[in-house]
Amino acid sequence: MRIAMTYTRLRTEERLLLDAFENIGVDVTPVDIRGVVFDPMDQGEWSQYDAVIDRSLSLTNTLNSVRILEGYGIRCINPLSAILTCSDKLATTIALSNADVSTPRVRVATNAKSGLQAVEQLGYPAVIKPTVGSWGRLVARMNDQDAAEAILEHRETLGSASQNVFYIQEHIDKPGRDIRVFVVGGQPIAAIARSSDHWVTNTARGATAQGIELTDELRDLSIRAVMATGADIAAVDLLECPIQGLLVNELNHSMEFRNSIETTGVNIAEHVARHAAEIAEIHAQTRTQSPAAQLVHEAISS
Amino acid sequence: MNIRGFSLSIVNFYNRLTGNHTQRNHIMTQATVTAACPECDASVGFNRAPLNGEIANCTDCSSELEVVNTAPITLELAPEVEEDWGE
Repeated sequence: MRIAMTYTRLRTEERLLLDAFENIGVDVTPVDIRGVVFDPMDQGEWSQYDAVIDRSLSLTNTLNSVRILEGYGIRCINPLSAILTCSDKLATTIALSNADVSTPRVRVATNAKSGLQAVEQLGYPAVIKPTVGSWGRLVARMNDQDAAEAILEHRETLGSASQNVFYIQEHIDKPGRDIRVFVVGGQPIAAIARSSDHWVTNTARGATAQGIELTDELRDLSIRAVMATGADIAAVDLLECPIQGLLVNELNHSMEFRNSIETTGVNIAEHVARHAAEIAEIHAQTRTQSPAAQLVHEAISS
Repeated sequence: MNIRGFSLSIVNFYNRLTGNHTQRNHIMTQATVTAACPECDASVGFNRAPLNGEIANCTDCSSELEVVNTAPITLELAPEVEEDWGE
């Protein structure tokens, strides 16, 4: 059984994963995706792999490479469908809503004028986010009409086409922190709270992480959120709303975890590596079967 | 798999993909390897052979650097965050 790990930047997480694969005796090959020329009609060297774990920092590279690799019949971790759902906040909102997973209210508009109506439907303050993006980039809180008009006009005038999707979310008055639950193979393995004086609580924006207990409610919500997206591995971000209780805010298909191993005492990299190896093993046994038969086999094995 | 075998499989795979055979067996021959920081020319050390795309920080000038070649190890300033980067 062989696994490849695609990446664009070898960060601490990718090094930890390589070490974890090696520690559990799994043959893994790191592949800098930027140096690869794919032939979508011929898998060539890729035929040796039973699974590919994607760790590309660039969503564009992830989507294209995983699309091609799945076209070869290679099992990707995460699957393309899950990446498409997790990487787009609108797609995530729809998936969570369809699965009856509690999530903040959202409105979507196509220009600044309807965007202002959307904000006023939710009430002030409201939050505007790009549908694709991480680390709190370009997330803005609109406290009143003046701020909303200014931000919406700037987005419409200066933003790229992708920023002209006006994804507006109700503001949740969280207690200075949000919660992240790491889910691997459908099982929550660890949780952290990310605290900050700023209303944006991404660790990339300076929030500090601390391990917290995985309560039954956190487990239940996280499992259902991940099931709604079909992800093998994901980090589920939750908000504690004083009125509505726990809400799932978003999911991350290529989670960062370097600061969460020590704080939780859980070797997240090893959990990921073991689960990837299990998937690869199952896929190695079923590669000659039809896609439908593979799905049945996976369902029976899981 | 031992570290040397692991690393050589990486190089072999890279060579097969790129047709580049000049880099073969050029890594993991010493415990610590260094390269020059492109910003301040200080020596940047790795406690094991880095891979392409690996990120390092220069302890002298604090630049974030990226390995762009492994034989010899060559560093460039790491690119700024791009619009579609994330987790």
